[in-house]
Amino acid sequence: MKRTRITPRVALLAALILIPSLPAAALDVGDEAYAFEAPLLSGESSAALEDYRGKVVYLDFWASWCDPCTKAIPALEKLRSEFAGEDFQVLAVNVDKSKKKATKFLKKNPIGYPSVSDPKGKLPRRFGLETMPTSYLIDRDGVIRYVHKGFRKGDVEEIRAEIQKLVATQPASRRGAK
Amino acid sequence: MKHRHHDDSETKPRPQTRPSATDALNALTASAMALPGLTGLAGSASADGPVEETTIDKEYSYYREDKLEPRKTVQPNERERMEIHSYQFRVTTPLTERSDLDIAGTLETLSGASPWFVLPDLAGDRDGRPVQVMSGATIDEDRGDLLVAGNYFFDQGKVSGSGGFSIENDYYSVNFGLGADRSLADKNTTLSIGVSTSLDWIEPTDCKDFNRVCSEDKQSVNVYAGISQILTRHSAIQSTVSFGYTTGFLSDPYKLAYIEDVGSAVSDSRPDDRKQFTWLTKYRHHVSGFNGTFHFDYKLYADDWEVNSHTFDLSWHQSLPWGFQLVPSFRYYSQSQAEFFENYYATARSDGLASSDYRLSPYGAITYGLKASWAYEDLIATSDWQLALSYERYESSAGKAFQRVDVENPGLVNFRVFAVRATVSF
Amino acid sequence: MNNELLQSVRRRVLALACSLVLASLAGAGCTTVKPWDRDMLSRPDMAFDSDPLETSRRNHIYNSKEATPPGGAGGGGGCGCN
Repeated sequence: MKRTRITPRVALLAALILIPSLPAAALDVGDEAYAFEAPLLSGESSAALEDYRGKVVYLDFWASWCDPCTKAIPALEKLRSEFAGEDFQVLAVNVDKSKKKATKFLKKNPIGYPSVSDPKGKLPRRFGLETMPTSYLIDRDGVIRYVHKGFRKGDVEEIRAEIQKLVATQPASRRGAK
Repeated sequence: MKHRHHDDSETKPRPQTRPSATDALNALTASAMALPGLTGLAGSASADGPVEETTIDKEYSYYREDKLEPRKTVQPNERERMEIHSYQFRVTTPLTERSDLDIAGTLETLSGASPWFVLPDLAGDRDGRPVQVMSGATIDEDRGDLLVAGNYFFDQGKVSGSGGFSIENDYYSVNFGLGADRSLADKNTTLSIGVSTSLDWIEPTDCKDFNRVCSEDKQSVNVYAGISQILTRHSAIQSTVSFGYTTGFLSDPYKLAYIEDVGSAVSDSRPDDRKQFTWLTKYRHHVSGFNGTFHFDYKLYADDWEVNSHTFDLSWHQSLPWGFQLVPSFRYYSQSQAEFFENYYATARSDGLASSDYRLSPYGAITYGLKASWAYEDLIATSDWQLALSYERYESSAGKAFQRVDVENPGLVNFRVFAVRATVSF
Repeated sequence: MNNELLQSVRRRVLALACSLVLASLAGAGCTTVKPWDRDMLSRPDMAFDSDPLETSRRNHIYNSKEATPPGGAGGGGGCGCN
């Protein structure tokens, strides 16, 4: 009986065909944000989404090679300082393959919020990112309440309004223990 | 294929006292401005959104054609060809959060002489090869053009519009274009379509003195459709087909064609219309190990004058430390002749068509180029600078063509271009 | 067993079809490059027209000196942002 041999090349090509056909689990409003832990860009330690349970988190995916992403960063830094002391946290995920370029950008544009590094792109894949940049507004219970795709100059107003709404709400009575 | 009947100008060849250095075909290609208007729109660095900064480019270039080789002419003092000093500028700037503006202009000064007509080896001292008669003395001509284009970006595509004009002392042209891009959901595939049109008027200088047409016009329209596809993380391909139709006065009023049995030259006379097909494919491939990118373009062209051509453009973009970049380039071009073209005619054609213009002759050409640029990103302020120097050398001959060519047109041109450019972004 | 064989044959046929399509440079949908993987594609030298001023200068010269018009336009490639 003839056996079809799956050579590595065939397997690779087959995998390449199959992967796009897997359902893209794009996290959206109402979904629980994937509770990740990733090393910081500065390399000193790591940050976990869980650490910020109880706070409103604005999670921003960015890369140094993405112009709208880099335009968003100073705007987000401004928002962070506006909402400082209001249980609000901005957290960034950098997907640069080369950390050097990301660090160089942040040297020129310092931010007061942490940015984790995910060069392999595991987090954007988990979140089902459809465009760069994409950011998620996560409530105090870790549920996504607002997704912002892309970034244009006037978007800050809309984002600020959404943060305002969420910051005003109270967390659920349960603690977010897993 | 219609043809134009007009009086054979029976003009005996004589050196012109005040020829125009402007080739009508040179100017006729202002219709090409309609296309660059749309190719220029792709210059928004990110094809998915408006430019984020204002960028100003200024360039000076010097174009110089080689002197005509002595064996190709019987006028030893009329070997100079054309020289052009050109000043180009371009400004791209954001308008709203979804739109940008692109303005480009050129001002150039042309001087020199251009081919007038071709004679057989009458004196027998040119090995039977035909010789080029040039148009004579040098004059200065100015040419200016302006193109304004705007882009509006949607989430999955964009629309673009452009308008422009071109002016020289004997030639005027206006052009308009519209284009649209649409990306598929994964943004790996983009479809493009567009249409452009050009209206041209020519009023040849000294038309009465030289028995030329005094006022003519032509109209062209061009449509294109293209698809671009990202292949891998480091490669992408784009392929575009376009169809063009031009009608009106398509001949070169400054050129003649020699008829042997009559012993005199008639005015260049080409068909009343022309249908053109172009298929351009571009491939881009980045080699991260070398920090360089490879460009390969292939263009196939065919028209109903029976001119076919192939163009291969290769370049390697080598990024170097401290903001330097080196780009060597190579171009190979080969065209077949127009059906009605002859270096000179044994007897007049029954359809009245005639042209000895080297641009409709069969030949091939090779271009070598090198561009060196330096980009400086200001760490403190927010402006970036870039300086670029480039050199290109173009050499054409019948021997370089794909196909076998029996007799080379003596008017084939070789030229050099030097360019220096400064760019600022803020 | 038959099912397994059928699956592997089908996969093999699909793989072959895909590589043919890729080879003919029309590989839409075979390998999708994700938005966060477009770092190299966003390089200025990866644009289809990486130097519009040079392109327009060259087009103008070649259009005046040869019989062939410039041809081609349109977008695509690049960062894919927004």
